[in-house]
Amino acid sequence: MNSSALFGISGLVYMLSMAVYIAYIIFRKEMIGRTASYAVIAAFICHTIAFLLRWADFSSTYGLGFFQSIPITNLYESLLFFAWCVILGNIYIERKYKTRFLGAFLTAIAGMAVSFVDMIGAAKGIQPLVPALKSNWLLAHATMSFVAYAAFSVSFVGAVLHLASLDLKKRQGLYIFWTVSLALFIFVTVFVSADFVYAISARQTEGGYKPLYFAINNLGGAGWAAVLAAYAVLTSVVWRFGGVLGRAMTRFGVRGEVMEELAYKMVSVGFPVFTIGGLIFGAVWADKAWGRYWSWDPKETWALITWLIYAFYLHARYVRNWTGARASAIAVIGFICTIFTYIGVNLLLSGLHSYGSL
Amino acid sequence: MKKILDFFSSVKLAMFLFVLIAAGSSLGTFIQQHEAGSKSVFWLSEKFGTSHEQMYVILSKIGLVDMYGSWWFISLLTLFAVNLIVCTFNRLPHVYRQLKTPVGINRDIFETSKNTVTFEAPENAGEKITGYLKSFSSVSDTDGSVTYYAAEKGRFSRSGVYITHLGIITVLFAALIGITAGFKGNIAIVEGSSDDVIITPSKKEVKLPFSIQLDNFDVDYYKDSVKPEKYVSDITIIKGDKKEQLRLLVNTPISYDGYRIFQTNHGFYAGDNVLFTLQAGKKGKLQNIHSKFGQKFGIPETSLTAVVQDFAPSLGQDEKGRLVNFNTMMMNPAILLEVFDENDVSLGYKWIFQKHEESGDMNEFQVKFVDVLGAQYSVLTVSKDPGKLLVYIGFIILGAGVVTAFYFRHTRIWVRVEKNGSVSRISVTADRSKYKSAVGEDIDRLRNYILK
Repeated sequence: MNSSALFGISGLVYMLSMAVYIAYIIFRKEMIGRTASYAVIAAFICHTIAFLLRWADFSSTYGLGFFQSIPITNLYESLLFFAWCVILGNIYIERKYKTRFLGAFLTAIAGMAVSFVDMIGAAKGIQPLVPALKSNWLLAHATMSFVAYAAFSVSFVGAVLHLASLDLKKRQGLYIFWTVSLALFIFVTVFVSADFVYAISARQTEGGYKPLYFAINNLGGAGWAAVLAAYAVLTSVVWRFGGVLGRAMTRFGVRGEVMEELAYKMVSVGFPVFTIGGLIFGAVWADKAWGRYWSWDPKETWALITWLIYAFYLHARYVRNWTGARASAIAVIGFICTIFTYIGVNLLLSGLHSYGSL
Repeated sequence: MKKILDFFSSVKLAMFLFVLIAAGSSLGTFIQQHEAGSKSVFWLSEKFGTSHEQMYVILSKIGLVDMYGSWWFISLLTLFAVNLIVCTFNRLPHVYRQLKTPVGINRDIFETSKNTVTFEAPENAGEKITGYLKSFSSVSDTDGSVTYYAAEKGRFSRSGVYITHLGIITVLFAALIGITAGFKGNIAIVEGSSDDVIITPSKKEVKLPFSIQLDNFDVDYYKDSVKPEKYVSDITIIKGDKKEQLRLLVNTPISYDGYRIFQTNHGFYAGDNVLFTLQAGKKGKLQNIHSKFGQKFGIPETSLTAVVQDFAPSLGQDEKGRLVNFNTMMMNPAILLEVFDENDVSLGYKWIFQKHEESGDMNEFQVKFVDVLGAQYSVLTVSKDPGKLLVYIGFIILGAGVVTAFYFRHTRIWVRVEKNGSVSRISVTADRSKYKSAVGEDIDRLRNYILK
């Protein structure tokens, strides 16, 4: 059994678990919830084995050192690793907070990431490293960045659930804010996946695929109008039915304050990792490879912006005792910046940091 | 004075600056810096109905094309640094006292704290408590039948925030040194030649106290792939009569005399002085030959002569089998050799590939294409940054700071044991520096330990 098949299986199981988690929320049967939890753990083990297999494969194919061959060298391998961290977070939350309510969201994020990778077939061929990536700092920098991104994703789910639990009126700014953000997140995920499927079917992936590149080149004015309309429809649906989420939380006894604290905890876990791995190790690596530790490259700058937003959040939460909706709103903004750093920069801005694209 | 100090040390100002710096620096990522022909300039000039040259001038006037060096951005960073320094040093005495003061017995806390938990336990509770508190630093005191304990763990973690701030201050200070006293620039050298002038990003020329000679440049590709595996520049640094031969790879810079030299870029240079190194002769008895374009040479131990007529850096076949030079990346270098007999009559042409020895096999003799010199140039970056050591020190402080601040917490526990015959009445309360709402966990853990 090779690693890509195992990745595929675990991605599929994550997606199925998402459906089971949703069924659990609808029917409120303990049995269903337990089934989902066990399925996720089984898929997680499978995912771990696949990751190790690929690591070994990489190492033996290119004869690189053990640490240099960790398979997180392009956007897709890093997505696999990111999904792994998110699922680890899910397992931790189920243990620690004794609730399966977040499972539906977290398996959705992870499942989407893994299936996305599987679909594009990037997992099948192992790619050699370009010289700038042959560094032990790669392991430290990339791995830790993705651990932090995963922690921030979990904090996003916590913050959104906290905002959902507040029972806000539909016309309130904060309600509009969280529903629009959630819709944006869902939309971007689906749009990027759809773009890729089209790019594959039109055989436009040769020589490298960049997220949304196909859409940018092929969608005319009408196409973009349709995309915007789809986004508007999705947003209004989420806006209209956002209240359902809060009511479901009440039924499951998931308290808003607990979710708020989860968001805070996850930012507290992710922030040091991001500081050391994302910023410091990134700077050291840049210094080793390009001769300067900071050059205001778009990727670097956006990492700094993300860092500043979370620094704002932490100061607000800890020093100025913002615990209510305001803090969660900042955590959501922080995650939007994170996503932009992760995908948006490779997509829209040009710079040195082009390894993120395939 | 107090007011000014309070303003500069306030967290409010810090949060305000976070937002301004974040918003400001994002601008610079949308407008490509130092780039007159960038998309954003064209887009803006279209929107405002100006020519793009005019737009570029306007943008430079408001400091958007050298945004990170503009007066307003530098002022923001300076204000941020002042805020950080004042805030950190303003609170230092208070933090110092906090760090120096161990937890003490507190007889009243059980009534004042709303976390207090009271329960009954068997007689041996006292020993159990001492056992539990072994991993803490603790004190105890007895008033007749009542014993008080106070214990704590992780007091040092309260310094984490300040260590983090100190790290950031150090990095900012080191960056200031780097900007004012350091420089960096690029130098492009063709194989076989040398140079000692670097061009900085602002197009200034800086003469180095030594010159760099490029002896050889090579790109190695992964087998059967167009992906480069490594870039190698073999250089000689010449200073006075001192010569030093060094090898430069990506990710492995060279340090020389306080300067650092990096492999940055490379390219193809189609000059006349390209020198080919070949081996020719009867099979098994090849001799080295150096030759230039159009320069005839004899093939040893035969009466034949040959000449290099053409050179292709990346020769391959297209889908119809025609020979095509794909690019200038030296992926599959080949020479076109014309061979003549003793009467100088051409016998024909043949492409000989560096990477495929069999391509040089003729019936009676063999020609190997060993290397080509002078057809490539390598771009090196030379930098000098006197603040670099300090930057790394700042990184270490910053890293240690965030770990201390986020992964440790200060926990304090107070216990009161009232002996009453064979049962003890125990009151426990606790406090922690973070996640205060979960402080009950600390209390429960102790209670479970006692009742176990």
